[in-house]
This record gives sequence, structure tokens and C-alpha cells, in this order.
Amino acid sequence: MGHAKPLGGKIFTPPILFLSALFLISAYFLVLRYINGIGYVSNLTDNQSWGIWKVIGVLVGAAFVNGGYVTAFFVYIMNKGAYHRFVRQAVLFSLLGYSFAGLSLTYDTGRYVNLLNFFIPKYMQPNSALFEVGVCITAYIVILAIEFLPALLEKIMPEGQAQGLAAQLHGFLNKILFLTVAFGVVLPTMHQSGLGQLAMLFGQKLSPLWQTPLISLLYVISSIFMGFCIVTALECVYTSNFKKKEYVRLLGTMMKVAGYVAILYIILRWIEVVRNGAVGQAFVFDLKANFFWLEWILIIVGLYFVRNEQARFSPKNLFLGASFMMSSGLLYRLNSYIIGYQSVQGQSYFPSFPELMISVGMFALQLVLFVTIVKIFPVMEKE
Amino acid sequence: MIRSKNLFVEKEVGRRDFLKLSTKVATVLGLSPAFIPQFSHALEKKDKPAVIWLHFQECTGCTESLLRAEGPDLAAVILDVISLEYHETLFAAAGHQIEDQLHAAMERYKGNYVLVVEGAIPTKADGHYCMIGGKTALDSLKEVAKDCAAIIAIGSCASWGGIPSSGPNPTGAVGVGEIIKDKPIVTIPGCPPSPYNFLSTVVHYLTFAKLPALDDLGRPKFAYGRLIHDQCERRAHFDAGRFAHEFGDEGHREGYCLYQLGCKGPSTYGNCPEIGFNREKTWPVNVGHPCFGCIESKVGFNKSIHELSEVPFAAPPQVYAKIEETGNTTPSLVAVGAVGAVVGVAATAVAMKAKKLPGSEEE
Amino acid sequence: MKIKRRNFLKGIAGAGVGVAASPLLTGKALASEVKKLKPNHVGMLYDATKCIGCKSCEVACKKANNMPIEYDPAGIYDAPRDLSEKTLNIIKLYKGPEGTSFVKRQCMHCVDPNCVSGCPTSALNKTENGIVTYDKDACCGCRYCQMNCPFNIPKFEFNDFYGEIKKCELCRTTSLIKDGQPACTAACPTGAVIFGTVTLLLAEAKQRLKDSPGDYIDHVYGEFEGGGTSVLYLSKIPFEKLGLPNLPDYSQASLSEGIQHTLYQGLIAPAVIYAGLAAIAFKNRSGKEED
Repeated sequence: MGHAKPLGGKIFTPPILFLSALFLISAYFLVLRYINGIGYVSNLTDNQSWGIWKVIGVLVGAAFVNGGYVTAFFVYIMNKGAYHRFVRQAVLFSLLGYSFAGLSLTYDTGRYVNLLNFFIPKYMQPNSALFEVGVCITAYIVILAIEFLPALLEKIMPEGQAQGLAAQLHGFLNKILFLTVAFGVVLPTMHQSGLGQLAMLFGQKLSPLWQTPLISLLYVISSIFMGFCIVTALECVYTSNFKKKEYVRLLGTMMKVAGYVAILYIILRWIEVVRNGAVGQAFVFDLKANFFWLEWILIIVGLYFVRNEQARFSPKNLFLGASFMMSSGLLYRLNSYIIGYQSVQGQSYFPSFPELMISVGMFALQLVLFVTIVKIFPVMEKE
Repeated sequence: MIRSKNLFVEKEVGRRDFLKLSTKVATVLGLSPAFIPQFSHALEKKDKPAVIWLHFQECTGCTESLLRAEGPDLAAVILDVISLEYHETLFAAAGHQIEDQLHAAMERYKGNYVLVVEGAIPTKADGHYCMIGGKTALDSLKEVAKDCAAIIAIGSCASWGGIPSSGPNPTGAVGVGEIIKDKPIVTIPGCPPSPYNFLSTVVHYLTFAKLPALDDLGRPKFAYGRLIHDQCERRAHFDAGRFAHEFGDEGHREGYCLYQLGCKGPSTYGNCPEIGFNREKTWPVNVGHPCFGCIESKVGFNKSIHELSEVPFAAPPQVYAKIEETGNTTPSLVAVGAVGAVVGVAATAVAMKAKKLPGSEEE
Repeated sequence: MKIKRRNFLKGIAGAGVGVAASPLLTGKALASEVKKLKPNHVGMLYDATKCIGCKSCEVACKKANNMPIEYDPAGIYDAPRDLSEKTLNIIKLYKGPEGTSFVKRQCMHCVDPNCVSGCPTSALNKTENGIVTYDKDACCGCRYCQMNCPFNIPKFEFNDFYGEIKKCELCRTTSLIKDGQPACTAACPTGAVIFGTVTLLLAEAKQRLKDSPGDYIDHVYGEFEGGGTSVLYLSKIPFEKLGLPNLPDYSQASLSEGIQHTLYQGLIAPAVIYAGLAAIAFKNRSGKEED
């Protein structure tokens, strides 16, 4: 089962208080949004109707927290039991991230009560990639909750006992783990590809530097290497003791796989850019082109940090490599929905301050919850 | 017969003339014909307000314009309706004789007389640029205005300084409103104004015992409430983009809009296109010359005649949606700062954490 | 054991990549149901050469559909600058080296609409007679339709606390019932925009091109663009200059749905993959229990 323990420690540390304050600011703006409408707190307009709430909150957020996806695959399908220690924190982070992504829809849709229509057969529209994403993410949140339930149960379970309701439930969940874990791999694949698929309908409105029929595949691939990166990065943040060689090697192997996946991603992306005849546009060095190159700079730098086994021995390199590759993947999502998207000539979009604060505050709340939960519940494994 | 006091003019004025004037006034004021009997009755009344008419830096054009009013001979009519106690042009007397008349009138009608001012008042060099009877215009105005009931400033000069005030205004010429602050002032600007603007104001006052609605510059709104541009008969040409570009070119001969030749109609308030001047009811644009904004301070005698006028509002038919309407959001400084802060914090956090991590595996 | 599993996994991975990459190889949509034009579909024909820019269509549309007055940014009354949640139909002016022309913009009622394909809750639908309709009770306000419409037509009430999407619906609840045609076509004094079945309008448009070839660009916009639209355009000025985008002959919806159906039709592929993964996880679990 593993040796996960609550991290313990003070709950209300200064960083937590600061993050909570950020959330309170965003709560204030959210109240204004519900009273006065989306236009009152954001710079969303008919010409740029999806802004940072959808793009950062849902797209970037979903990729950022994809640790649960890749660790589930690595551990339960590839049977790399050694990585089991990473699963729980990845699942928790995913659970928070996806829940908040779903939550962001309640303030980013204009008629939020009708979100229930996603689950009413009369209104379902399975041709829509957005429908598939919505249903899939909802199902995935349920799966993540089931995957995380053992951690909650362990907290209330008396040590070593096999009796009691909690213990029985814990045992049952363990037995059906193989069922939930399989969902935990299929569902993210489906909705990550769906998130990319959404951009297909933009047609020419999305610059040929990003538009391609392969966009759903590229979103899946990038979410895979991003998943490894977030697990590695989080481990580096939380671990103070890197003396165990085996532990560092584990992280190193994850980043090696991430590296190969990233290289595949780079190749496919560039094939499509060339096939679209868009290489010339990359050298115009306007805003789109500059952000396009920034993606490649970030990912190349990240790959450099984890270029060989020697480099991967260093936790510093692993952390930096993970961070840079992660940023590139996040930027890819920002680019394909905002920077690269042009509905009318001369249209530009920059979020307003309240709009930004709402995203920042909600992310801050996620961090607060994550840190608090790992302190109270047995999630992280420490040596 | 008119009771005229030392006037050069003598005419027969009968009831029909009163009616004609009343009709004209009703039209100019924009009131229904039902008011005509009221005006007529007021005009025929015998208790007439005393009027003292002062002249300062002026060309006497405003008086002349009044005298040239036709059909009926309104000068005669109006002079029967008011009691003109002092007027330098129209009075036969001169010198000490007329000055005594002035002081006698001021004394007799103290607090009740209407002061009409024609011409600007110089203020530089203690006002020595205009002296009448040994007194500066400035002192004269202050003295006569002290006991008046109300002031009518006729013409642009008295209203805001007019032609004497055009740059560099060497005499410091100003309108009455710059000097007298404690009396009600009606201004009737124009160079000259249509006599009917002045006459209608007076008849309105006689009939209703109050002044017509005034704008914030003291101008009666019935005459100065709308832009000349909005009443111009050539407006359709402006809206459709048809302009004369040179005097005598084809556009000019076709009677197209004179905006490109410097017409100040879009920035001047008045009723010249509506009521015109003279028997033919003409006005400058009508005969092919751009309006130069003689009514409006900062426009007339200020902007050059052929300089393009400001157009405060575009005409609706000229406003068509463009093919691509750009909807730019200029990012607020706060938002940009916030984004910068977020990115900065994240980058710093990563860098700081990376620093703390061991560079290589500890053996 | 290990070798078998590895091969199995390789097989799945290969299949996945292959399936997703097939559009790359074939270059076109694996469309299962591309929507096509039906003979009873209604639409409009707008001839820019006949339009005088009088804007009667704008006024009639506002009146028929009870839309509020919109002000220009300079404060001019009833002078909308673009389509918006208050303006469903607008006349725009183009002045350029090729000449001057007006263009009428409103919903194009596409044959295979992106908005209908992308709407997750069936708020946008293409009815039997070809009109693209909006149902506010189904709409959740996600605004995906705004993002995917190639003509940027749907507008959202951002300043309403529970806003709706607004767009032209060919007066289907108002003038179409009362007068048998939308308010704009009824109001047009020159017949620049006319109403009818799309097939007949297309024939009329082609006839006009044949009769007066010098007056037009030899193309009916909307015949094939984006899979075809129910509102057709004729013009002397190049269509792109009038703001009508240069779209490929297929609808983006058919491309996207093609991929969607290939991957998920009947949820077969996901179910197969799921079964395979569950089996592997089960096997691994049994192995681990010996830990």
C-alpha cells in the first residue's frame, strides 16, 4: 500500500495566508460577476469570447495537473511499482485541478444553470467535442475522487485494523482499483484530445502555425510529457532529502520518457507547420510568431537540462527541465486559443484586472487546498 | 401718427403694421399664430419701457440693420412701442444737450430702463481707446448700467467683443458680460444680427413680461439654439459628400456645400438659414459664400475665413459601419502589471527552488 | 509475460496514432454525415450591385424582432457599427480602389454549420427548412459558437447577468409567419436582397451572372464556401474585400466530426482500449499481491 504519511506542520503559514487573501479578492470579483454579468468584470467580447478563464482555468489547468494520468499509466499498466509513491499526490493535484476547471465553468458560462443540460438526454449533442470534454471531465473527476478516497479513509481508519466500515470500503476500493485506474487512463486521453479537437472548428481563425487535423493527438502527447513534468516538479518542491540514489533515478527515468515524448511532439508539430505552408509566417516576427518561437525555446531548454543520464542525476536539472518543458506545453495551449486566434483583423485581447484576479485567486485556492490536504492526510511518501 | 422725439424718421404707423410685426415675431419665435393678437395688443399698449441705447466700439451696423428692417417699417413701429430716451445715431441733438438728456432719463426712469449696448468696450489703458463726452466707455457703461433693469447686448461686439477683439486685440475689447456682472444680460450676437432676433426678444418681453429662454451665453434659444449647419439648405450636399472646392468651379456653380471653402456653419449657432436677411431673405451661403461665423465667439474674426470648420457631430447618413470594426481592448496598466507580477513570481519561485536543489547527486 | 504485454501495448499505441493520423494521410474528412442542401431549404440572395445602402432592412429587422436601438460610439442615434446582441442585421460600406459597394451581413444559415456541430447542449439547430435556430433554454452560455463561426455571427449579451446568444433567425417567429418572408427582404426597395428556396435562388444568381457578366465577379459566394451557405452573395467587388472570408469548399464541422466519429463512433474504440487496460491492470495487481 505504500508508506504515505501526513506531512504535518502548521496549517496557516504566511504563504497560505497570502494565497487565501488572493482568493478573497477573487471572491469579491466573482460576486460582481454574478450580479452584473461577465462583461462587467472581464474584457471578453464577441470577437474574443474565450479568454483566460477558459484557456488558463480549463485548458492549461487540465494539462498542468495531468500527473494523475501518467502515473496511473506508469504504475498500473506498465507495472512500474516503484513509481507508486508518486500516485497519490498526482491524483490529489489532478482532482483539485479538474474540479476547479469544472468550477470555472460555473462563472465562465452565461447560463450556468443549463450546464445540467450536458447530462439530460434531450439536450445532449455527441457530435460536439465540447460535449465530450464536459462529460468526460465530469466522469474523470468522479474517478479521481474514487482513486483518492483511500487516502481520506486511511486518515480515519484506526491503524492496522481490518474491521470497521472505513476499512471495508478501503479494501473494496483496492480490489476494484484496476477498473478505476483503466478509466483513469482512457478518460484523460479522451478529454485531452477533445480539448485539442475544439480548436479544429476554428478553421482559418486559428493561425496555420497551430491549426492542424492532428491537433487532438498533439494535445494528448503534450499532456503526457507535461504530466511527467508536474510529478517531477512537485516531488522536487516537497522533497528535502535527495540522498537516495534510487529515488533520483526514478525521477530521472520519468524525465527521460518525458523527453522522448516531447521529441515526438516537436517532430509532429513541425511536420504540420511545414505541411500548412506556414513556415514563412514564423519568420515575420509579429506577436504570433514570437510566441510560437518562445514555445520552442522553452522546450529545447527544458530538454537540454535532461539531455543525458549524467544531467538527470541532478535534482536541480530535473526540476528546471520539468519546469521549462511544462511552460512550453502551457504556452502551446495559450497560443492555440488566444494568441493564435484571430476572429477579425485588428482584434486584440488582454484580460482585465478583475478577470485576472479571479483566475489567480482560484488557482491560489487550489494550492491552499493541496498544501493543507497533504499536511493533514497521508498523501506524500517521505523516506 | 408717431410721437417721435427728435427723430430723423417720421412715418405713418397703423394697426396693420402692428399686425404684420406680430405675425413676423410669432414666426421667428416659433409660436403659433394664436399668439398674434396677444403681440398686437401688447404693442398697442401705451405704457412703454424706457430704453437707453449706448454705442461704444462699433460700426453702427446693428442700428442700421434695425432701420433697414422692412415690411412694415419696423424701425418706426418699434420706436412707437418703446420710449427711446437716448440714441446717438437717431437723435438730432448733440454735445452737452444730448448728455443732459441722458442724465435726465437715467434719473427719471431710475431702476426701470432697459439698457441696449451696441459695440465692444475697450479695457486696456484704463479704457482710453473709446471716449464719449470726456468719459471712457468703461466708466460710461458702469454708470448707466448701475440703475438699469436689464441689458440687451446687440451685435457680436457687445456680446463678446466682435471685430475689435480679433487678435491681437490691442485695445482689450470685451463684451458687456465681461464688465457688468450683476444685471440680467441678453446677448444678440451677429454682425449684424437679424433685426428680427432683437425685435422678437423685445416683443416677447412686452407681451409676456419675461425674457425668452436663454442659453448659457445669454442668447435667446429661439434664434441661437441650433447650429447653422443643421438648418442649411445645402446640408444634403454635405451629407452626400458633394462640395465646391474653388469659387466658380463646377461644384460651386451646382450649389454644392461650401464646407471645403471654409464654411463655419458646423460650429456656429444661429437662425440665418431660417429667416435670412433683407427682402429676399438671403444669407451668405445662399449666394455662394461660406458662412464665417460672425455670431460665434472664437470662430468669427478669429478663425480665418477659408480655414475648415470643426464639425462636432458627423451627419447620420455619412456614418456607415466599416467592413472590419476593430474591437481593441487597450490593456489596463493594472492588468499588465498583474500579469507581469504573476509571471515574475512564478519564474522567481522556480529559480529559487532550483538554487536550493543539490546540483548533483549526493554520494 | 512481459514481452506479450509490451507487444500488446505497442499495438494499442500504434493503433491510436494511426487512427489519429489518418486525416493527415487522406487529407480530407472521414465524414460520416456531411449535411447537404435540401430542396426545401430557404435562404436569401443578396446582390450587392443593387443595394443602395438605405438601411431599410436594418430598420425593418429591429422593428420586426423588437430589438433595441443601438448608438454609435460618438453618440449618434440608431447607428450600429457592427452586428451585436442588439443588431441582427447590418449594412456595411466598402470604399476602395475597386469601387464602392455595400454589403449586408447577418447569419449565413450554413448548410453544415460549425455552430450546430460544436454546441454541446443542442441550443443551435438546423431546422427542416434550413434555418439555423437558437434555443435559450438549452443554451448554457459557453460561447463556443462565437469561437467557431467562420463569419463571427453569434453575439452574446455580456452585460446581462444571465445573457443569451443573439443572431438572425430569418424572422421565423415573426415576419416569416406573418408575411411569408423575413422583414429585411420585405423592406428592401430595390430587391437587392430576396427570399426563397436556396436552389431557386442559386439558379437566379447564376442566371444573373450569365445575363450581365460585366456587372459581377463570376462567382456566387455561398455556393460551396464552408460547405455552402443558405445566404448567397453576388458582387462586383471581390468578396474578401467585403468581409466575406475565403473558405475552403468543405465545412470545418465535417472535418471535425469525421475525426470525432472515427475515434469515438459508438464508443467502440474507447471501450476496447478500456477493456485492454483493465485487463493489464488486473494482471499487474495479481502479480503485486505477492509483494
